[in-house]
Amino acid sequence: MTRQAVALIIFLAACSGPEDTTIESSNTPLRPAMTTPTQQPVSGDWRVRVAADVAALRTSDPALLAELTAVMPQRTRAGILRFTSTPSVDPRATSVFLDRLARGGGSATERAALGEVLARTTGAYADALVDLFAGEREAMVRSAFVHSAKRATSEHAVTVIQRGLTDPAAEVQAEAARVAAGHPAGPRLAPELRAALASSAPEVRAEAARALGILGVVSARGELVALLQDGAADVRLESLRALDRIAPGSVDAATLASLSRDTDERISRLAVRLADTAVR
Amino acid sequence: MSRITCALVLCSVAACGGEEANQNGADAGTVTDACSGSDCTTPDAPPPPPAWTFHNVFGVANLDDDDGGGRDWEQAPFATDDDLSKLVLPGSTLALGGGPVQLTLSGSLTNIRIYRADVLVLGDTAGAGPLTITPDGSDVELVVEFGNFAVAGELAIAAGTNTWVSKLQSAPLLMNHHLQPAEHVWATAVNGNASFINSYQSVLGTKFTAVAGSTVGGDVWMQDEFEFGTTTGEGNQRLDVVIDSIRDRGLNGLAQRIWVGPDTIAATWGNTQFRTSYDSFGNLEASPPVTVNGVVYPFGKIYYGRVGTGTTSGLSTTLGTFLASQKVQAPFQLPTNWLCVGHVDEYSSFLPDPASPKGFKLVIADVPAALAVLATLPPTATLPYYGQDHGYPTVGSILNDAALIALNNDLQADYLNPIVAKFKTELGLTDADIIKVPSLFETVSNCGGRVAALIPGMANLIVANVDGQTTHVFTADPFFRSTTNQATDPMINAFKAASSPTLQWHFIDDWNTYHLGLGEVHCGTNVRRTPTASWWTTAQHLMGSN
Repeated sequence: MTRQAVALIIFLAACSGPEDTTIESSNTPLRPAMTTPTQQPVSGDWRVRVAADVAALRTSDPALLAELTAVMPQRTRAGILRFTSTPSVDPRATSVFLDRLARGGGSATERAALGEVLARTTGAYADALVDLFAGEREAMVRSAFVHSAKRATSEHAVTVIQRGLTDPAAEVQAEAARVAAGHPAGPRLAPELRAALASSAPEVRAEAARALGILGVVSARGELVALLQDGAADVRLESLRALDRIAPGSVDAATLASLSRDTDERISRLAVRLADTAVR
Repeated sequence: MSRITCALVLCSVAACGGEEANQNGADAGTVTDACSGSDCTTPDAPPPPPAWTFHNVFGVANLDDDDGGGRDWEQAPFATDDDLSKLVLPGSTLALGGGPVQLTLSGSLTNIRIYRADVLVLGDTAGAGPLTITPDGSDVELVVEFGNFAVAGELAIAAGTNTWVSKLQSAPLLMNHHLQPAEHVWATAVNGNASFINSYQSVLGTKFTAVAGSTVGGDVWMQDEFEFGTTTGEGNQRLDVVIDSIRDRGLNGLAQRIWVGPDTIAATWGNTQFRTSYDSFGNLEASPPVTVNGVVYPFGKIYYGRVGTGTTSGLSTTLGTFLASQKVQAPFQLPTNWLCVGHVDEYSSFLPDPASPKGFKLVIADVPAALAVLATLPPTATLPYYGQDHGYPTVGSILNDAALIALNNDLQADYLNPIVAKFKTELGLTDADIIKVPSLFETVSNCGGRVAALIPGMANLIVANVDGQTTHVFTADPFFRSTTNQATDPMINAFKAASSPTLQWHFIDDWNTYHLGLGEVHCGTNVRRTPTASWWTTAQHLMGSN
C-alpha cells in the first residue's frame, strides 16, 4: 500500500468516525495546515528545481514518486478529466506534476487536468506555467494553466494571465478574463481587458466586461455603454452589470427602459431593478 | 397458480358509481357487484348503476420477460405471465341483454390485445371487431394485454339497447419521488470512497448494495445512468422500468446485468449521437404530490433541465416528449445551463416534513443563506478542506474574494431566484414550503465559465426510508470547519435547523471522489422505491385523452 493511500485511510478514519453515528463529535483537527503555494520561494530555472525535487523523491520516497507519476485524472460528472484525490501535501508533488507536463505526452484532456491540479498542490508552479503556456498547442491545456494562475500571486502568474488575454483561442481569453477579475493583480490587466472588449468572440467580450466591472475600471465606462447594444445577450448583461458596479446609477433612464424590454429575462430583470433603484 | 391478475375487484371505480358517464342507454336494474367498505357507503354516493355494467381494466404494459423466453408482448400468453389482466363478463349480466352480445374495441388497437380461451379475438391483428358472443349463462373470461405504457382503449359491450363501455388502460410510467419508501439503494465502490460506502452500509444494511467499481469502469455517478420508474395495475401488478440514459458511460449495461428480469425492464429514449451532460438523470427528478391551482398531482410533477428546444440544450427532447405523453406527472423545465455539470439535482431536492401542510419542503441552493452564515463567523476561522482544494483557507478569504461574491450574487439573481419562482408556480409552493440551503458556487477549469459547488452541495441529497419508520437523509459533509466535530459545522447546523426534526441526518464524506469530481451524494447514489398510489383511482383527471 502506498504512503498516500495509508495517509488517506488514516485521514478518513479521523474524519468520518463511527459509521452509524449521525454527527461526528470529536474535535480532532481536519487536514493538516497547508503551506500556501505562492509563499514558496522561487528562484532559478524551474526545470532545475523540478529535477532536484524528483531526484530527491526518488531517493527519499520512491513509492510516493511512483504514485504521483502514475496517478491519473478521473472523469468528472461533467465528463471532463480531473484529479479527484487530494494530492500529497509534500510540495515536491508539484514538481512531479510539472515534470509530467514538461515531458509532454498524454492526451490534451490529461494535460489539462495536470494543469488544473497544480493549484491544489503546495509547491511552486507559476514560474513553470510561463514556459509551459508558451509551448502548449492545445487551447484547453493553456486554459487550465491560466485557471491555475488564479491561485498564484507572483509576477509569473500575472504574465500567464496577461498572455492568456491575448491568446489566439477565445476560450483561453475568456478564462484569463475570469481569472483577472479575481486576481490581486487584476487592475494592472485593465488595458488588456479593455482591448478584449473588442474581441470578435462574445464570450470574451462578456467576460472582459464582467472583469472590468468587478475590478471597478472607471476608464472602461464608455466602451461598456456601447456594449449595451451588443448583439450577444451575455455581453449586454455583463456590460450593464459592470456599469452598475463601476458607477451605480450611471446608466440613463432611457437605456434602462429599453433594456427592461430585452428578450433575455436576466437583462430585463436587472434593468428593471436598476431603474427602480434609481427612482428611489 | 396462474399469475394472471384479475381486474375484477369489488368496489372498482365502475361498480362504485365513478363511471356513470360510460353508461349509455342501459336498463335500470339490480346492482350485481355489491360494494363494501367505506368507499361505497358514503351518504353522498350516487345511485347504484343499472345492471348492464362491467368492469374497467387497469393493467401494466407486458414488456418484461417473465419466462426467460423473450419479451412477453412478443409471445402468446403463458401461465406465468403476471402482466395480463382478466376481464370477466358475468354470465348473469350477459343474460340481461336477451341475445347475442357484441364486443367492439376502439382506441390504441395496435397496443391492446384481447384473448378469449388463449385465442386473440380483438385488438392487434384481430382488429376492432365486433366480436359476437352468444350468452349461455356462464361467465365469459377475457384476457387483456397491453403493449405499451399509457395505452388507452374502450371495449363497447352491446346487446339490444344495452351498451356499456369498459375502459381499458395501461399504466403510465411514473417516476419516483422522495415521499415513497425506499426499497434498495446502490452506489459504486471505488478506491477512495470507502467512507461514503461504509456510511450507507452501516445505516441501510442489506438494503444497500455497493457495486464494484471494477465492473463498471470506475463510474461512480450512479444517479446519472438510470432513473427508476414504476408502472402498476389493479391486483398488485407492478412492472418496474429502469429508464436507461443515453449517457452510456461505465455504468451502461448494469441495468441489464442486475435488475432486468421478471417484472423489471430497462428502456432508453433518445439518440446517443446527440447526448450531452444534460441527459444524465441527476437532471431528471420528480416532486412529491402537489396541488396546483386546484389540480391534484398525486404523483408529483417531473422536472428537468432544459433551456430552449435545441438538440443539445437540455434533456433529450425524445425523452422529454415521452415523459410528457404519460401526462400524470406533467413535466416542466428549469435552467441548468449555468452549471458545469448541468443538472437540476445540483441545486434542488425535496425533504419529507410530516409537520408541513404539504408533507414536504423544497430544498433549494441559496447564496444569501451561505453569506448569512459566513457573516456570523470570524474571518480568521480556518477551513482546511477549502484551503487546499479551493484556495480559500479561511472564512475571510472567501468574503474578501470580490469576484467570487459577485459571481454568486449574480447566480442568485440570474438563475436561482427565477428557479424558485418557477418551482412556486409549477408546484403551488409558498416561501413556507422552501428550505434555503447555504450554497456557494465557483467556476471550474475548462467549463466555459459555468459553475460547480464550492461548498459541497447539500441540496444534492438522498432520502431513504427503508424500514417504514426512520427517514434517513444522506448528504455531503460540507467540512466548513476546522475540526472533525460535525456539531460545530455552521453549514450543517443551518441546514438542520431549517428542516424537519424527524429526519435522521447523515452528513457523509464525499469530498474527494464526488465533490472534487463535480458531484455530490445524490449524484453517486440511486434508489428504487415502492409505488404508493393507484393512478387509476387518483390520476384519471390528468390522463385526459388517454
